[in-house]
Amino acid sequence: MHIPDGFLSPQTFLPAAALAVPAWMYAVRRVAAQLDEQTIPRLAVLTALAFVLTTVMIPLPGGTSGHLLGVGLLALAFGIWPAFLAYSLVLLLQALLFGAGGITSLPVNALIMGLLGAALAVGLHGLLRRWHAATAQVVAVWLSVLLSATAMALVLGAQPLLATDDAGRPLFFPFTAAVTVPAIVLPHLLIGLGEGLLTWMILRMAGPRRSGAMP
Amino acid sequence: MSPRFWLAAYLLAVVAVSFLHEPLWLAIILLAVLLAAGRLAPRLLWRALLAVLLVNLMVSGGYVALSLWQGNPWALTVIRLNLRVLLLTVLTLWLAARIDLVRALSVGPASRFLAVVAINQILLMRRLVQDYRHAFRSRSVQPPRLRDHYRSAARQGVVLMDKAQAQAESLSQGMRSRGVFDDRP
Amino acid sequence: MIVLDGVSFHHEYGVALDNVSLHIAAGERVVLLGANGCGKSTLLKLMNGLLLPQQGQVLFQGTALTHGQLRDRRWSREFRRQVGLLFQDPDAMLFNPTVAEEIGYSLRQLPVEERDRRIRHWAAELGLSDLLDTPPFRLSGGEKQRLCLAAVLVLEPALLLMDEPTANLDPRATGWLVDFLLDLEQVTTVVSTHNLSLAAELGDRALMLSEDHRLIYDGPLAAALSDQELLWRANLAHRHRRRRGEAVRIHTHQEWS
Repeated sequence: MHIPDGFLSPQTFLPAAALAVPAWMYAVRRVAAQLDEQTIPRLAVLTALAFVLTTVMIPLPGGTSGHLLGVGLLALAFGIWPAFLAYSLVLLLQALLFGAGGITSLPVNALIMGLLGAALAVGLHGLLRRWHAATAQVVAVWLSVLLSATAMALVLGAQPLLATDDAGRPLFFPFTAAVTVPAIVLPHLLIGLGEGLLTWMILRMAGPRRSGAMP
Repeated sequence: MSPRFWLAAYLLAVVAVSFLHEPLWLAIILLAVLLAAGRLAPRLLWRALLAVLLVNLMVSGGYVALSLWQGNPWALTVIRLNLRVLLLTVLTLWLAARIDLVRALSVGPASRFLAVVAINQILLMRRLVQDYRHAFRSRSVQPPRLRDHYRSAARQGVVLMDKAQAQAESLSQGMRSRGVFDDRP
Repeated sequence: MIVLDGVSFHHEYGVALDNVSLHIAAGERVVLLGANGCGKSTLLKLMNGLLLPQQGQVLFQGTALTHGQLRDRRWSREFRRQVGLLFQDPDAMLFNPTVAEEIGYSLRQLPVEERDRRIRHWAAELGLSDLLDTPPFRLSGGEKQRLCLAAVLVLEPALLLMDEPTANLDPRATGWLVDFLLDLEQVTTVVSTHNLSLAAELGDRALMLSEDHRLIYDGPLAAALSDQELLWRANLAHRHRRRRGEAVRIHTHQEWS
């Protein structure tokens, strides 16, 4: 799930870009410090992994399905900063190579789904793991998806307040949070649970990793 | 003109379009872009329409319904929103069709290598999971249950994680063996 | 049993098959030969209705495989039951938590006792009886291959498609597989391979794909294997000029990979 081009006002995406650039620079420094000479090959593979993970479908009841986000999985397996960087690169590739998603909305998508999503997954997992390891993974990813979706809905819902023409009509995305929050968050109650379940299943079965190493 | 020039021009254009609110201007620019794209125009327009159709129909339809119910005007907002989204999407697809993005994004050997390897690995991993999906379909005599779908999707995730691990190892080793890391200051 | 009529298939990387027509009758043992990347896997997936051709058509027992036809649940169930495909990478086929569930995956419609009977039968046939509770991903390569065979054969298919079934096997397992396939009666088989030493053991009719993705030979396997020129053209035999430092007459070797 990400916001396409044309829905966000410059009042939103320009500050988001100003925030995202230092976040990316910090992430690059963190990742490079950890991986040294292997930064480039490993980051490239991680980006490809993040890209193809989004093509895995989350099965939902009734024969429907959603796309895996993969941010929680990557964050739990490899850490917040690699996950954030890889997801940002995926957004860039998707926007420029496949015309999917958007370039103006990229900083917002990267900050909310990538950075916030990864940080929430890792943070919540850290809080919950002592209580029950498997459940902690499911719940952490579920809540991370749910809260990122809420943040997304709030940013979209702020658009008609941030940018209107002289007559007060919205210039960009037209619905307020009263509409976006239920419309986006409610389906993610289920999609997020599916993402949490799949993440837990994948982490349980994936081969051994050097802890913290990436990918 | 170099790919990097076009990338910069494109970035300026998308920001500029975000400051334009007059539907007539948006329509004129869209038309101008399509004319400039020449032979590519029908394909660009078609692919852009397909890309934005679902989301824009939902948003526009919802907005029209809500406005009718509240007795508010809706035409200008809906036309402006859809024109802008379509114009931005056509611009992006045009850029993607025109220039070699790997070269445009290469600000140095590292980023070029990153882009090339990432794209190669995407193709490789996509083909890999495609086989898993085919096998799942081939083996499903009965329509799969929800639990079968989960098991299959999880296997796809696992094989991608394991493949990434193996590829990262061998790529790093290959680079070291070719002395790539030795050139660094 | 299965007919391909002027079938062409191209994917995003280019052409995979170019105007292939052939007819396989019930009871035949067909070996599909071709170098790597010539379209063998694509041909098998077309026969299994996993890919649909852009040109031409694939007919199974007289019915064309189309989107609509494959969406017809009853027909599709019968088709999936009758045609089994063994993927080159056994891992691609395995997703259940235990060997027993893996073998029984396609048998959900059967009563429990009958399903268990069949699972035990095919596990015994393929030497997996002691592994029924093991997770499939813990098995060795040869065991996985046997498990995939069991998972396909448990449906008692009429047509068995196999994509490079020996590619991941050691010599002992390969010998075992050849014997096993020869003992399978009343099953039509199409086996793809680029291993000529094995081909002769796997069937009596050869289909050969060239590197430009066309069908360049359809006939008796023995004749194909002795035609050095044909094998060289399909990139299934190599030629070299030198031998241990001495220049000798150009001669052809079959690939014994």
